[in-house]
Amino acid sequence: MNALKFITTMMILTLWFSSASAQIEIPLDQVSERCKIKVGQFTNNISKIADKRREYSTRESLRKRTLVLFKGKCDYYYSGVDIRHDPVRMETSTLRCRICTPKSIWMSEYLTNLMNLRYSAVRIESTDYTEMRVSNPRVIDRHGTTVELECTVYFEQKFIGYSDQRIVYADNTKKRVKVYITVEQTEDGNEPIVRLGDVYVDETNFPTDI
Amino acid sequence: MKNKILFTIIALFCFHNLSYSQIVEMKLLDKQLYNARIKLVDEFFDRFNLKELHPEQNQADSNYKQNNLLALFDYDYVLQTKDSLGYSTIILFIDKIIEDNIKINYSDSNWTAVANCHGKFKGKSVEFKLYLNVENRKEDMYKWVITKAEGDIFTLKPSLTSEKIMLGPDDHETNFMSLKRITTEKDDVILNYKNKTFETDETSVFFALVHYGLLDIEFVSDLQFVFRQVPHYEFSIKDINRETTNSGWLINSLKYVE
Repeated sequence: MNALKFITTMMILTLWFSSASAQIEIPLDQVSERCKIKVGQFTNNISKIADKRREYSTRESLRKRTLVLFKGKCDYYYSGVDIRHDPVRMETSTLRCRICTPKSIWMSEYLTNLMNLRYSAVRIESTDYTEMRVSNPRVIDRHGTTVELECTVYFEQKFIGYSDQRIVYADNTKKRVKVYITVEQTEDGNEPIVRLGDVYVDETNFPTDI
Repeated sequence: MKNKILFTIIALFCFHNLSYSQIVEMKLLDKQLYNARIKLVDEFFDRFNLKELHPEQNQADSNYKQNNLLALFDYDYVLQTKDSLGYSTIILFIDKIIEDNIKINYSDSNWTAVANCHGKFKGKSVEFKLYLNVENRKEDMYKWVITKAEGDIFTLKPSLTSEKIMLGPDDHETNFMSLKRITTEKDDVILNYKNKTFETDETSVFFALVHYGLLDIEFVSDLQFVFRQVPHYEFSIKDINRETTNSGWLINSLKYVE
């Protein structure tokens, strides 16, 4: 009799938990919007980090704050299993590369390089975050009242390097940022937590309008 | 003299500010090209399914569906086929999609990613292809899985083929000591020792090489997606990167399949 009670209780609990997790509504529009904002924060930061008219200490502090936007804070990280993942990478190409293959560097190295560019002035313009294109957020995992998702945010970026007010280098890149989202159902609703991942660079051309 | 220097400094300062303000005013990113470009594969799905239109298409136009689907093609490919049967295939393909109201979805099992990979095998550069498909994990959760590997290094083609390369008919009597020889003397003739009917499975070879740390993928040098959702047609898309309104993920190949 006790065994029967136990089994019945367990079945009810299982059904309750599974229905509870199925009830988590994923606010897809909100998720996409948050992803754009986060990537917008990243693009905004990199143009400021590269801007030599700003104080070095300000740029350095911004660089550190940018690291935090990424998964594992741009360092090695674990994701539930016993595999140490490499830090977030940025696959980038430049017009000056001799072989047209993407060069892959860690994001932390990319940000440090931005601080130390040899140009006298640098201008980086990126697609406004409201215009960024986001792929459909796709579910990776569900546990309890938490849903994990991933998607990709696309934006374009133009880079201009000046030396004595002359443009000495310019490129145009199309970037895709992997974005990881954790939606946690709280009493106040759903609160997406967004972390950025690897950044893929498509190709580099001279901008057509300079 | 002092005035001259002062004037030069002021002039330089003004020029610097002027030139910088000109730089700031200059619009660098082209919004029209950006909006027209099919930036993500998901966007290709939306345009194919007419959830979104190419910005130059208008729903008020009676042929907007045809034109929108035609705008999914790489115009270079269309131009190449203009005077051949290929062009009529494109038109028939578009008609078929509209007539049968065909939609394509991410979760479909009949579309495949073909990734040309550049790798390092025992320190040497190698090229090979990986075929990937979307697989359902549970409920609304999916993942990409490797369905096939293809490349010269996976065929294990022997560098030498000879009837003489074999295990001797009486090797069983010496405890198959010859097995040591086949793995120490010349490795790349191993398939001479297989039975007649054995077929090498390239995908398993790929998994084995990676498993034992002998093969690293450095980057994907080319990526295409092949779609088979439209009955009797197979088409592929590729990211065409150019500064025109016909760019991004576009159809670069279409064939009729019996």
